[in-house]
Amino acid sequence: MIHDFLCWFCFMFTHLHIHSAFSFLYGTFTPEALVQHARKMGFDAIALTDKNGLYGAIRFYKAALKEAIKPILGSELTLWDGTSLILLAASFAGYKNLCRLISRAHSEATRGKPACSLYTLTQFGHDLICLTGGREGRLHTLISMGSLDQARHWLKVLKNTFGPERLFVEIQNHGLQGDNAIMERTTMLAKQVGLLTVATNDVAFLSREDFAIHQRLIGIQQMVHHRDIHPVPNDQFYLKTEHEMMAAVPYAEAVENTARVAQASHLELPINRVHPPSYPLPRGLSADRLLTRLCLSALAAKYRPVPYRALIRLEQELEIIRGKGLSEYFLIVKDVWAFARARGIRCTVRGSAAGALITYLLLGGVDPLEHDLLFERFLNESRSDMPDVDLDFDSLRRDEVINHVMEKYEGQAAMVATIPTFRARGAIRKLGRAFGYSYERIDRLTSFLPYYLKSSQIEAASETLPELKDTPLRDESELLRVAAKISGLPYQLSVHMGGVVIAPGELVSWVPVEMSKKGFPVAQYDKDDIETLGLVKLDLLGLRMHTAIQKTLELLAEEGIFLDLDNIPLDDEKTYRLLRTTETVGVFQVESPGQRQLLGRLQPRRFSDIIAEISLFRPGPMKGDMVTPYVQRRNGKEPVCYLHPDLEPILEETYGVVIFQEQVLKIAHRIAGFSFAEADQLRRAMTKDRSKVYMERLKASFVQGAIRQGYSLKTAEEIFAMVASFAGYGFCKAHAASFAHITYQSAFLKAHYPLEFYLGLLNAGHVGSYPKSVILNEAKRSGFKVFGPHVNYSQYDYTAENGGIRIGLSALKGLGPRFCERILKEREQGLFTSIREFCTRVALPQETNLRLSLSGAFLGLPLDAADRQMPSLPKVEGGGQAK
Amino acid sequence: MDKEALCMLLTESDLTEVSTSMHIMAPFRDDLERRGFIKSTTLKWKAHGSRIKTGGRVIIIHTPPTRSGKRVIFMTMEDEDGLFDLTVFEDVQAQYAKKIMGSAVLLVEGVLTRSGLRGVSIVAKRFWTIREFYESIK
Repeated sequence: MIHDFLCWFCFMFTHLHIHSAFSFLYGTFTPEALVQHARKMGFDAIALTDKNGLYGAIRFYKAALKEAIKPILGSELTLWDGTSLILLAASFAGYKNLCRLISRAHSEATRGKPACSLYTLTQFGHDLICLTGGREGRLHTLISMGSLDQARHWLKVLKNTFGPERLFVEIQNHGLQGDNAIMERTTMLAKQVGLLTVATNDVAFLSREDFAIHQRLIGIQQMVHHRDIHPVPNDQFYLKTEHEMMAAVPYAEAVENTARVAQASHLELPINRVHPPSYPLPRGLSADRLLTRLCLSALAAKYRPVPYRALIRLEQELEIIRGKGLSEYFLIVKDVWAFARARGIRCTVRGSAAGALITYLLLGGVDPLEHDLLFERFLNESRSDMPDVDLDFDSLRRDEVINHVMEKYEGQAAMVATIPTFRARGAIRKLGRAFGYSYERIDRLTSFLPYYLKSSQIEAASETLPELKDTPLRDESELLRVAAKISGLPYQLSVHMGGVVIAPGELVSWVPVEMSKKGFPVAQYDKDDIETLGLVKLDLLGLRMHTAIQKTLELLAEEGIFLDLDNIPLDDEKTYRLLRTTETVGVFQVESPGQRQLLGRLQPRRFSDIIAEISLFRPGPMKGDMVTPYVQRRNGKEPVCYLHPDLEPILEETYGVVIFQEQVLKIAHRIAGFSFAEADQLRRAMTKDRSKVYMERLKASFVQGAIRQGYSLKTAEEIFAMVASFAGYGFCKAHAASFAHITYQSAFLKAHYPLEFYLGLLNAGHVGSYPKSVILNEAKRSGFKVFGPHVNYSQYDYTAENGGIRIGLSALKGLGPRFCERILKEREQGLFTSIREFCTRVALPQETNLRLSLSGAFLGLPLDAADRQMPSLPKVEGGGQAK
Repeated sequence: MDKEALCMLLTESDLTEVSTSMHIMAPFRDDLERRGFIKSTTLKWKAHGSRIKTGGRVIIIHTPPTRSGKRVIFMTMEDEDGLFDLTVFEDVQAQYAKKIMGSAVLLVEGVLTRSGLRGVSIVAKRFWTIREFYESIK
């Protein structure tokens, strides 16, 4: 007891009721800013209790630990009656229950309006500390209405649920009328029921001056999202000092009891440890054995005969995977891929995972042995983080794959969140509405604002960017001030494009889950927080180029041409000739202006040239000026030289220039005698922390190793300098090789089957850098005739017709899929024989018929007397079928 | 200017996402050629360092990070014959950035640069809108 008393004494007052900006459009500060502020104010512990979520909890936890402040994780949970409670995790078990409660609140109520039932609260109330919710709580409401008996009853209900040691009655004073009286009655009731009180402040901003920012955020909720919500009534809802709290809440015991609550929380999150997912294994078979069996079977199928080095490599990779307990993870990845393949959904691997032999055996792609790719760049024994396997799917069918994952791993899987933050354009647009500006005025204010700009940079940008010289934003000082204040604040939960988290068991015991608009479960953490928690993420991305390729292959199949595109030889001269012309609009990764310029300089002749092309045109190599020496040496304009002959086998493929991250690993391995795992550590250290002190340590380690290997000090230092200057700018070869394969495939299709390829591009949505009009114009210049949309000959999409392209009905503005479907369905009964007949059979609005006529969609249809008045465009091709 | 063709193009762009009749530059081509504006195919035959005038539809505007940290605008434009690329440095941006960002069709004068066997691009010095062009020749 003496010890407990002394501990409370050390902790002093602790804030227990705080809303950061992760109470979206309500709180005005990030969790990191909260921790910094708390540190400056001398607090030893602090809670974060955002509304119905733990969105910022992991960031808060990490930031607090870094500052040696005790983090108390919690949430303000809305109950069925609209009031709320504060729930704090007393332990990891309590944290799990909190996640479950938040998830249930979201799943049991209308989407966007979470609410927790009392029954659910009693189910998962263990190891949680409950505070009665302050002015948002049911207790406060009942007391302010004078319903003291009901208030007393409510306290007893909560006491039964949480127990007297884990329930605390909040008393607050925000200087509002009635606050003193409510404090007094609350304290009296707490005493009657045998409960302790705690003094809290319902914090929404860090300092009084930020009350205006909070009001504007609420204004956004009102004007943009039309929510029935009001700001807090005055500027007292800030992070007060202990002294201010003692002055506001003159109940010493309540202030002191906050330390008791802080002390009662022993939460330690199992961060930075890996928690791999579980896979439903067949009976009697371990994950390791199953994975080995699958790999050996694929090895025998892909290599005939199987080279010895492949066996050695496979065993090395499997040993590391087994050692890290990741066999089940790879089985899950294989399962997802197999599902897609079985349904004819195109799928490839991207990223460093493409460098693993296991990936090649299980999922296909480029042969890492043939292209000299390193497994250690993807995974090695020194890495503590989870591997990340990213899969690209046909974007039109990706949701089928996600559905499969959600169904098969129900309860274990969810989409990963992405939490967008305010940038310049978004901040001005939303704040403009909160300020009551019209949409026209907002358009004028945001015109020419770059998309990448932060809202705190607008003023500076208006001085430096010439297109912003006359911006009307210069006269909006208050708008700019608020925009700068909310710069970088999160404003909503969104769904990551393809990130899926799979937990080892029930996901809602690790992270709270909500439902997305599409009906998928979404974890409340983004990918960084998921990784911190040690959970595994798969990226199931949609790639429109896969859609375009798939549509091309389908069209070819209709013509009786069946291509096994994934296994075509990589030495087709016609393909490389196309690349050398730089007429690569539509070709994956090499159609942008810069890439086309580089193609013109590089003049690729083999597959490795495409890998280099993709690797060179990146911010890193461009900043590191690797492009020029590579191009010069490649074209014989500059001699290829090496600092030491031992570097030649490593850098020969890139003419002595370090381009690939894998080359950095190989150099460290060969010259300094590092294992590949140590070499990867070196590479990562060089890219992350390039402080002078740290670089000197790395250099010493490298040079010592090189000297041990028999190199001179001078050579060792020179090689280190070379590696150090390039390491930060290198590109992952495995990723480049994987993408290069798709580049080659798309170039092959364009070179050999251009008409079908153009159609594939046109029908795949927005693919790559160029709009459909550019694709179509190129098709025209290539000699393909283009026929306008026509009610008798167009399908919904673009189609091949008489060796040319028929524009689809979907290209008509204002027609819409519903009307297109109506036309096509009616046409199944027979072609339209006149405009009048069309109007009668299809029954579209008159304006739509007029637009069809003006676009030439009726051309060639006989005119009735009544239709002679209808205007149409002369000279537009589309009348009848092309000859 | 072929006004009938221009009207047709405007109507077409209101009705469909793509044009089947002609390129947006086609109605202006005769007037442009008379005043020394060339097409993109002709660019390929010009010598490095040539001063040229051309024009087209703005397709891509890109401002990637550069080694110097200064903003460089990379553009791709399109005329009847195809795509061509431009680079706009800071000194030219000062006068023309707003025009570049806010126009769908532009005329440009600049210096042709060649890199490698097929790399051709224009370092832009001056821009006009079509309206400005016609006002200047009235």
